[in-house]
Amino acid sequence: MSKISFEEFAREIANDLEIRDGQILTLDLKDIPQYDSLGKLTVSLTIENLFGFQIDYSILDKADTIHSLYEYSINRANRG
Amino acid sequence: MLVPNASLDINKLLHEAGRSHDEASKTISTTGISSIRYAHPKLFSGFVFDGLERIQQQHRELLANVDTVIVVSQTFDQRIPSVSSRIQNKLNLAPDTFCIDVIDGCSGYIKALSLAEMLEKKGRKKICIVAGDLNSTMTRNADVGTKILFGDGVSVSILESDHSTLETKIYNNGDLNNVISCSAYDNVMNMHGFEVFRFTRNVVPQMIRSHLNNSKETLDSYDLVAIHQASKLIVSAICVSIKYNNRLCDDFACEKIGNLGAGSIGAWLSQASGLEKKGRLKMLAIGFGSGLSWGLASLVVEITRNEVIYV
Repeated sequence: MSKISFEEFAREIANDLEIRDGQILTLDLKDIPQYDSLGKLTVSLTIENLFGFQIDYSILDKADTIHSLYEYSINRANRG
Repeated sequence: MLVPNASLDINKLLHEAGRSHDEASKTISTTGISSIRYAHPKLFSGFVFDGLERIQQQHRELLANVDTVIVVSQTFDQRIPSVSSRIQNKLNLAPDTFCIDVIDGCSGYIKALSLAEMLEKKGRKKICIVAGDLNSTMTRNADVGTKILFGDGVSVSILESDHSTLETKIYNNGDLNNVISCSAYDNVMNMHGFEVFRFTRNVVPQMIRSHLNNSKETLDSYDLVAIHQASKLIVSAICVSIKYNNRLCDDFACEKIGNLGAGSIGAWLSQASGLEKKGRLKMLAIGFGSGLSWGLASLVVEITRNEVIYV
């Protein structure tokens, strides 16, 4: 079972995108300018480091919120 | 190394595309590319001929008695006649000079070295490899995320036969859903950077490890590991994965040139100072990109001249 908490995940992604932790909790990902193709690349590397799998670009592209990204990642990691 | 006099500032390109100062700074720090060389309105063949003329003026002996001309590019401006055969004529090379144009990008330099290896076995003694692109012809109307990575320029390598070995490996994977493409009709380069990055990070370190296992060598036995200069992000990711950093030059050194496709290994070498005084150097050259294809070349080089000429 992955033990990465949502708070830790949000902190890492906010750090990747260079935005405040609070902002990432309230904004839709599509409304964060830093979540562009390069931002998605950085986020994918963080997800790989935290959860040990390579996330598809389409998942990153379709994700609405940091919460949905976390849910996907933790479910995928725990599924193996 | 032949590069155009003019350059484009990436910060300015990003601002013109609507990016804020902070966004532009973050992009530049991630890609590692702050400016790109820009040859417009010159086209590939004219640029190459002007550059070779400059080399002839400054170092006539370098191009004398070349018996093979290999040109690698994706930005040929003319289909017929080939650039290599026109170079034979312009340099007054012998009629039996072996001339070939190869359409290829970021692993094209490795393919040229592979051809050189075969031709050396057929008795060719002095091989000229002209490799690189005027990428601006393909990126002028491309997405800004692609435009800011690719520069204009070509490397000119003169390889002379000796007793050292040159070993190459080349791999291909079709077009991988066209993640890098440019049709001849609209001449606009499209690249899915995310997929290219992932592909590279997955296959290139594995290829290097496999080569080291098979040859029973370690990276420490190499004086130079010349990695295709796609971007700082990609080069750094490969270096982290293979746990290696160059001692004679930064691993990524094309921040003011940009990615020159097949010309980028030469561009990297041109940024390393003092290589002419180092004697024989063992080099591992690594290419990857459009195709998708990837490959490496293990060779010993004694660099007698290494410089940048502005055209």
